[in-house]
Amino acid sequence: MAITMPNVRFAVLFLIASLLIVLIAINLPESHPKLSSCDCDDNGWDLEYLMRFQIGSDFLIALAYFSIPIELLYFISNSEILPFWWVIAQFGAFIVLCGLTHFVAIWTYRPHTFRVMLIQTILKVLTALVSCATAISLVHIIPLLLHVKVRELFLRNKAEELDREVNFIRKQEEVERHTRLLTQEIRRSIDKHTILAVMLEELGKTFQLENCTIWMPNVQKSLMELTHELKRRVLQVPVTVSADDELIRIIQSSTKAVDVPLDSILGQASSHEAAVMGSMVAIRLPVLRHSHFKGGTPQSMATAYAVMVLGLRRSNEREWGPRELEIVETVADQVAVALSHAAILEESYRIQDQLVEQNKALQVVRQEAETAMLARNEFLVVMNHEMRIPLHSIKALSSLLQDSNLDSEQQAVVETVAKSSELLSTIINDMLDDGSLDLDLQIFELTSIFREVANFANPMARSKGLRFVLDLSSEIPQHVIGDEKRLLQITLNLIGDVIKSAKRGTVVVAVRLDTEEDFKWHSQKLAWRPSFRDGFVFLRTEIKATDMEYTDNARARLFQKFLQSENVVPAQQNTTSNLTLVRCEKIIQIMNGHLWIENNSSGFGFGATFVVRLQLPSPSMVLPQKDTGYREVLKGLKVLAADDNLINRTVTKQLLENLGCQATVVESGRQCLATLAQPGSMYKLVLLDLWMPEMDGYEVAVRIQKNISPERRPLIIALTADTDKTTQAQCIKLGMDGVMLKPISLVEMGNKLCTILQRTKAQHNIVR
Amino acid sequence: MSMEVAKLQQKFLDYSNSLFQDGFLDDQFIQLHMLQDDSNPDFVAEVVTLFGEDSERLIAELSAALQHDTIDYRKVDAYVHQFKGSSSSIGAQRVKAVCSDFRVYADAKNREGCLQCLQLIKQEFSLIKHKLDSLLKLEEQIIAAGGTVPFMD
Repeated sequence: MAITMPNVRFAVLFLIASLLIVLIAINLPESHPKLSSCDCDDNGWDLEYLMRFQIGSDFLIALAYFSIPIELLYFISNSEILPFWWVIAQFGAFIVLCGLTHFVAIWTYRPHTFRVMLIQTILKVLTALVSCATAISLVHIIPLLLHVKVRELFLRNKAEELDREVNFIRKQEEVERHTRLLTQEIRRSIDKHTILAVMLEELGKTFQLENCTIWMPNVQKSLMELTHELKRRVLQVPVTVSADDELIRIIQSSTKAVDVPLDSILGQASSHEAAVMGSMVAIRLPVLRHSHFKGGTPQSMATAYAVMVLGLRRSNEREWGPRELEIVETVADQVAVALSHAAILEESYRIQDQLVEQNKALQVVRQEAETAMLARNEFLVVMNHEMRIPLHSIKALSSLLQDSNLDSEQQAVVETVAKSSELLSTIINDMLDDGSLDLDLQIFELTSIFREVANFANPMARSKGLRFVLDLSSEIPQHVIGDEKRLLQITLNLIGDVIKSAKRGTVVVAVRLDTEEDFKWHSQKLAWRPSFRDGFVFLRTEIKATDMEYTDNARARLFQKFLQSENVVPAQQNTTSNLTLVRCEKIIQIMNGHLWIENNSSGFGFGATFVVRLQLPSPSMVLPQKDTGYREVLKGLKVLAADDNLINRTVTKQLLENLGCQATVVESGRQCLATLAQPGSMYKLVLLDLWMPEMDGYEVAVRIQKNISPERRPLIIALTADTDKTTQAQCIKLGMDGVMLKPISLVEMGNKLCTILQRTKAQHNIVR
Repeated sequence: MSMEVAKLQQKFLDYSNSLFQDGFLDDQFIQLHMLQDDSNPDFVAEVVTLFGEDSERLIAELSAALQHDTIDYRKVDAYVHQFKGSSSSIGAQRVKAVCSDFRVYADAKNREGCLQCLQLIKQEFSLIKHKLDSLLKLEEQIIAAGGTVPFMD
């Protein structure tokens, strides 16, 4: 029972009542003699009657008093806590004693013995003591009890508060869960439309929406078009709302959900017959068109906002509370992110597709190029092979003719034929061997080269009705070191081109030496600067077609103007690019020179000028003799040849003997060394096959150089079938004097031997 | 008489041209002919005979070498190199080509390839030998008939 006011009043009343009753009972007279303290004789009431009442009450009180400790014990034994046990014990004792007192009092109404009186007195005393003690301890206990009560109240309040908070959190969590589920659904797709559709669906489910619409801005940003809707309506015409509408503007500028009144344009437009909306709310959705990737971190530029309108059912009890709006806002954000991802992915797929297309196209082109390349190579090889056979017969036949008895005119003719075939051979070689261009530097006579040029060019020009003039400056040296064949080739090439393009008049070829002064004057216009060095000259050849009579004056005018003319371009820029021109330019470049082409606007076709650098032979160098002269040089030369192959030996011996040498052939390197070691053997030349068993040509060469002193030792020439340039380099490195490729023709061997002999002779001269 | 010589000469030219066209011979063969002169009139015949003997020896050696269970590829390579050298000196182009392939297989220690090449070499050699013999016989006939051997194209 709580300590409340009505209970207290009741208790107080009870006490007062009992006190009154006791007072009344005391003041009532009594008649019984044993009850000496009671003055109850005067009273007419029945004393026995009152005594019975008292006995009865005492008995009941005793019973009640005895029952209390029993109850206490019962409850204490059942409860878990036992606070203030000593107080309860006291109280229990008090109660028991009280009960006993009252119980004994039952016997005091009749005549009773002294024992009973004593017992009663003892009991009363004890009761008094205990009750006093209890009263005292109660003073201590009651505040505590009150305090406990207060705490109990406090705790109850707290519990209520916690309950409330838990509720709140639970509601929050619910919101989050919704959002997460929605996000999951939305994120599942990377397609824009799927994302939006899923979002609409999920929102519809979450909030039990009547309808949900999405309005996208159109291209001009003037209208908002209805693009997605939860409850689709039948559309004949796309539904639009002006983008300038105030409500739309508010929605687009606010980051939070905005309430949409039912009578607004947007509100009206969002609902239709099948979907009559209750309260509506709208939020903006950023529509990401593209994103900028500046320096790696993507910055998305939202170029426009779409509007999403959500409407609840009319009958729905739900309201757009803060929780719901929160969910809507979160969802909108997530959707924006998902859309941007979708856009990026779309873009990347598009680019990927593009690349694949490009790749395919490139592959096709590459294939074509490869096939073209292969075809060209095959063609070249075949042509090369085909051309060599007849070419060789021409060469052979003409060399044969040269050896037979001919008069000087016929000799000249045959020489030209031979030279042409040489040229052709070079060209064929060049064609196949497009990459590497090595100059074959030898001493040759410049004037004879140009004589040949004239021999070739004259008939060419005459066949076109043109005249040909060759103007050689007197300062041109007679002998130079350079690649004779190539020089001839390019000169003839260019002359041929000029002749072809000329319509009439004269084709003039002027050859002179360029000095440093000349180039100083010219070089303002030109990109190429020659480097002048001692021992080298720059030979300039100018080829031009002209109508003028070729006099001294004309010449000056013609060629001075040349390099000043605007039409001069370096050959690369010449639009009439043909293969031979490119080839010529390459060769000229390797000769440290330059080529210019002039496109003659006055209708004479074009002119060409080229400069090449040629080395001047030093005075001590011996000039080469003509081809047929090798016989004199080689006559009687003692040659030792080593080869392990019988047939090679036979052929080589015959070759050498035909050349006029005195040839000895041996089988192995060892034999070779042995033969050389023999006293009195004055071999001037040793021909070594590189590949021999036991001791190869390299080793023989090394040993020869070791065993014999440099002045007395013979020249060592390697004879090998290996065309690898490194082999040749190796031979030279080991100190050999020359390398010949086999199989080798008679003439080639003769020339080669001659050259090597003369070169070494010159070197020896210089050394001495 | 001259008709016969002319006919023989024509036959010779046709035959030799066909040999060049088919790639049996290359210009080294012509070079050999250039080395032949009055002081050495039988040079080419001599070389051809030598080539025949030497090649037969080499083929026998190669067959023996390739019959072992463990082939000494270095020896095989040496023989093939020899063969290549002599065929190149005489101008036997196809034989030379087979020798090149043979060397590749020997380098790769490919038994099957080597055996195949050996077969091929035998074939090519017998072909070229036969053709060279025919050619030389024609030459002899022409000279016997009092004509000169026309220079080959």
